[in-house]
Amino acid sequence: MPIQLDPVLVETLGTVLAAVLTVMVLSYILGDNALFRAASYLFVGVASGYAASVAWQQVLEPRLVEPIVRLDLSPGRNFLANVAVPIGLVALLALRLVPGPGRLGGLSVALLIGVGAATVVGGAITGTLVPQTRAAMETLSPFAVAPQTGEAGLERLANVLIVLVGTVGTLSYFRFSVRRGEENAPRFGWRRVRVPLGNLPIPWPVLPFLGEVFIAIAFGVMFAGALSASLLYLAERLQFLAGAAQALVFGLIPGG
Amino acid sequence: MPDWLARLREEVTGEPAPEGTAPAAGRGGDLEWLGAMPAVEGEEEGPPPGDVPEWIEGGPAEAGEEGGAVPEWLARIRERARGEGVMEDVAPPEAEPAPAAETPSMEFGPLPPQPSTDQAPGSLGLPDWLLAAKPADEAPAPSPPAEAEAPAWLRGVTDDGSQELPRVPALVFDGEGALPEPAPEIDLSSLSAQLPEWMGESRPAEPAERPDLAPATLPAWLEAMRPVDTFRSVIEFESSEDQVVESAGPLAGLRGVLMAEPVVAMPRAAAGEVTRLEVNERQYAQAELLHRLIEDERREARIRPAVRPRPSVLRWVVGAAMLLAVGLPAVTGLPGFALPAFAPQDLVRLAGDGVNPGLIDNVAPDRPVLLVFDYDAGATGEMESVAGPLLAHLMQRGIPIATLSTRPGGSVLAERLLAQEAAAYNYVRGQDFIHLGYLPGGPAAIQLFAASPRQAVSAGFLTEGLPSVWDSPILAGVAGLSDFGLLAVVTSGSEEAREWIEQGDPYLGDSPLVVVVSAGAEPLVRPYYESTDPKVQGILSGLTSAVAYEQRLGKVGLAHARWGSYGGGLLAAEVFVALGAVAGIAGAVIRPRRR
Repeated sequence: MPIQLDPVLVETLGTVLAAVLTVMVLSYILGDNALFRAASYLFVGVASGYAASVAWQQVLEPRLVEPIVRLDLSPGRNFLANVAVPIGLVALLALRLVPGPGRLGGLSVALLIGVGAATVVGGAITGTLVPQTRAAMETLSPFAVAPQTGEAGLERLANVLIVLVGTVGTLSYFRFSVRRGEENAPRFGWRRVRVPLGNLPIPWPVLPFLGEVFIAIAFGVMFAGALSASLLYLAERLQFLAGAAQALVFGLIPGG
Repeated sequence: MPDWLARLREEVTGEPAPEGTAPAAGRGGDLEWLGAMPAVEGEEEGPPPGDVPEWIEGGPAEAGEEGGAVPEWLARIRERARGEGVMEDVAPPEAEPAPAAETPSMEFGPLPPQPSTDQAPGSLGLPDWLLAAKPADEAPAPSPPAEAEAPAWLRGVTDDGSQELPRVPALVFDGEGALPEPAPEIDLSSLSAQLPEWMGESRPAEPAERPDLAPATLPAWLEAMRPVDTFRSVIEFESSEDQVVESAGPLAGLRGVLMAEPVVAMPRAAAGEVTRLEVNERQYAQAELLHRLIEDERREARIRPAVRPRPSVLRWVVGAAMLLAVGLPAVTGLPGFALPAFAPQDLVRLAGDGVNPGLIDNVAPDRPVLLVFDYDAGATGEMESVAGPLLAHLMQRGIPIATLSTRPGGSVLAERLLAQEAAAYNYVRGQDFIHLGYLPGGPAAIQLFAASPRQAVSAGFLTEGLPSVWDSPILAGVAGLSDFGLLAVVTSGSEEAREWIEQGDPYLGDSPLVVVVSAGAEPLVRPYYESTDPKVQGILSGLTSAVAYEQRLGKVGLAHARWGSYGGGLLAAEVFVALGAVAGIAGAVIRPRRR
């Protein structure tokens, strides 16, 4: 007979436990301490246990155990493809635990790695490499209109030029060849060019310098986004603590 | 007689010495060899008066009368001394065989005053070695050694001059003719086998095998260096007829010439220099490095306690300020920050502007939308705020919703968010929304789901009362990804978004793909959106867009509730960034001046 717990009590205990764990994690502001480490270990353990239970409930039990228990050899069930082959591959994979015939498990591993690599590479070529390359070579016609943003005219032309220079500069910065004897040489240097006002130092070659500038801007934008996300995490936790404290205080006070 | 001897005599006998009676030293044939000795300075003076010991005084008298063993020259001296009365009190000793071959004594201590029998009679105190140095014709000839005492190898060798041994002419250049060539270097060790027989006998006899001695054992390294027994241990001399006649070179025509082949061509043990390794400094350093590596492997590593950095005061100050800036608006609602005055362009395309419909407005209400929750529990603070308005918009329109996740915990987070929004729009799980559950397998599973969702997902999440999740009426017409009216990927990272874009886009058909992404990952997803061939038709990111979305929906949700805390925290972060930049620039300016 399952134990019936008061839902309100469970909710209250859960809220209190969550508030305590939140405070333990926030104690890292004072430095690395036992409370923070205990909360971290607890989260890792709970997450691993929950993942294992989900894998059993939603993967192993319905896909491995149930087909064996409810053996259905009717032609419409396609026993070979749906049951025999997967179970055989699982059995071969389990043989890797045995020192002798463990080499047979390489068949399952090879199938996993081969199919996974083919899927990723194919998707990357058709979904990322070709479309992004084409996006960096958009027309410079001032009459063209961007399909998503609706930009047109000089605004779109400026954006297209920025994308073009940024792409070429970044690729020239990440040159994938090493000049002999200059492994640690800088990617660009500074040259003085005579201008009417005097000698002006300019980076040379220019494209790697521009690529470095674009990379720095991209990292800056990503850092700002990460900071923004972190502030939202903190705000959500502090709001939770405030709400939990308010609920506990008013819940403990009679008539509150 | 020298003066010192005369004075000596005068002291002993008390009589003055007659002048000119004694021959001077060096005169007379018997003492020629003595007279030839160089005179020593002070010799004429002799010892000082009174320093003559008693044994000298009586010595000559004791040894006065001696038999025929006394040489003639010494007998004359004695006779002369006796005639002068110096030795008259001394009785002649018994005839004793003279110590013919007495070993010179090396003792220099004072001799006893009485005459010693070891001393040669009539030696006048001369040392034995000096007496032994006397010419052989004067001294008694030593008796020839007995034949039996001579070694065996020396018995047959007597230089009697009767036969002349073969001699090798001296290689002395006499100045005539051409200069002879220098003799070649000969390996003398190879000639050892040609020693004559009489020399071979002089070798020590082979010691007999003694069982009481342990056999000698060589160390392993010395055993390895032992020469290989290549040559014959016993050399057999061939007869002169069998010996090979040299046919070439300066020795052509000679018989019995040593062959050069055994020396040059025959294998033999390597010389000692070969076995010694020639190591340069680099090889030595590498060997040392290898040695140290091996030693380190053997050594048990000590566990060093982790060094804990002491938290600085600045860290506490920044932490407290951030907590205050974020927490104060969350608790008190103050200070208030102005809401966005206008909606971003991306939001207009997604949700419309009130006049022009957006992507969500164009979704058919009879086709379910698929929401993919690919974020962890730690990102709920941001993702629920941003995805909440989109979910509310879908529920406003009454569109059925199906959720899926490629993370084990994604279904729980989906249920949490849907439960928050469902109360306001009377959405019921199983009727209006359903969870497909966990999709394991990464990109390959995504592709499989896009092609055949029913094969990829069998069990659902929280599907009470249903034998299979596909028995739900929500998913009745779904056989592929294109059967969903919309695919929305809610993720905190760019990798999950890229996988769904790459694997799902070819199977979407006309259905749009919307990405709800964290602000930190937005720059990596936006290129798929702003492209001539966009893979993403709508993008929603950041709290600003979420607040604008809620304004568009006329709803106050999680985005509005966190807007104040977000603003306060962002302001504090900007202040700290500005202060840090100023401090860095000031430090860079001041530091060189101090140097």
